[in-house]
Amino acid sequence: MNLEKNSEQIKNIKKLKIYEKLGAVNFQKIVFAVEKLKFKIIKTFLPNYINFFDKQINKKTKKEIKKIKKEAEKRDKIEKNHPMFLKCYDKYISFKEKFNNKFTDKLTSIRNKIKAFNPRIIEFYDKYYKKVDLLKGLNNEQKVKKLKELSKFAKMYIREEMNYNKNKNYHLNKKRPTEIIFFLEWNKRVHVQSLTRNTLAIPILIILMIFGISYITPILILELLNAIINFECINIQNYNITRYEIKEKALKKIEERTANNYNKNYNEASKLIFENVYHNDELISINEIIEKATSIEQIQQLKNLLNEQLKSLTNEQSEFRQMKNNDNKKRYYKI
Amino acid sequence: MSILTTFITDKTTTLGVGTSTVLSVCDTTLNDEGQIDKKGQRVTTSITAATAITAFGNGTLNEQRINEIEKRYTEAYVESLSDQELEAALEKLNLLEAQVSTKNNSKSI
Repeated sequence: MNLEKNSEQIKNIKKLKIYEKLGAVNFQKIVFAVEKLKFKIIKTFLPNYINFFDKQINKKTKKEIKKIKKEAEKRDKIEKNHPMFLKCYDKYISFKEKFNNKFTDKLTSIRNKIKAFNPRIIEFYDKYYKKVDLLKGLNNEQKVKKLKELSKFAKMYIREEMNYNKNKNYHLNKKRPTEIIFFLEWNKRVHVQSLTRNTLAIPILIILMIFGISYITPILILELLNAIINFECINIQNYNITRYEIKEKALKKIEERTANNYNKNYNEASKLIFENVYHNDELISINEIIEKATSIEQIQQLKNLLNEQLKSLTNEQSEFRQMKNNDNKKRYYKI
Repeated sequence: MSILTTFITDKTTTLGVGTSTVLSVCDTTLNDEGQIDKKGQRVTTSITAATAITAFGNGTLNEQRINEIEKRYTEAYVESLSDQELEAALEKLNLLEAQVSTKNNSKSI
């Protein structure tokens, strides 16, 4: 088993060298620089960005919930207003379901044939292209609840990113380091899909250019540039995924330790926050949560939890300021 | 064309300001089934909030799972608080703690 582990590590180290040769480290510097610029621009020119983001999320969530409710109420409306069409509607629904089931069966049989021929194709497809239905298997009430939950988490995540000036998918979370693998895989998926589009678009553009359509050239150049960026991004993700695989055991231990520490020290505070955040459709303010504390233990645990968070945030922000200052110094020396 | 859609749509992660990036991430983060493993197998890398809805609904939770879901919510919430919010909250908690201690002391007297 040790031999297996060692050979796995050696493989990973070899892979790292290849990714480095393809430019992973250097391109990652560019990515971080763009990330820094993004947060600078947002904080300087878009002070109400979070409010804007919240409005977009609310709009999108409302639209999805409306769709679900509309579907649910359709039959009732027909029964009430046009009862003579109810049988037709039911027949239409049953026909639609049968058709969908036949279509799904056909797709499944094609999928099984491809899997029998080469299972790696299906694995690749599932990993990078298959759409995931987040609301699958839920009834309408659960779907609405889930959408509201997703909306709350989206708002919490954007605030976290703005607090730390860090994209969640570029940086390790110190408390939940194993979370990064999911974001790395997700990011890679996005760029694989984009690179696939580039691969299809570029030959078409070249053919059009050969036929003498003049305005195609700048579009082709942009497309090629996009393809290079996508390739490099995929390379960076592969590089970071491999680094994660090498350190996975240690990261899992860190996460276990912080989880145990958390359960020991913040159980009561955690229950208080969870109850209030979970049962509210909107993001509740921390002051409202504090007002609902009922025991001294909850108050003390909450105090310790928020203190720890403030320390961690202050450290991160001072690191960010330090980086900015170093950049300013560099600019001064250039002049 | 492709590059324009990459910059404009909500799938941008590396370049451009992706307002829906977080939601897109959130979409796929908050679903156990959607999580993808490096070898194409489905694994659960972290407890997701969406499981709270289905899990509580199905009533199939053990205490550990409940604790994990609570922890996930709490961490996400606390990390979303700005430094000003944290400082204001801590002040309020200090006052509240003092009030509760005074009450308890006067009761014991």
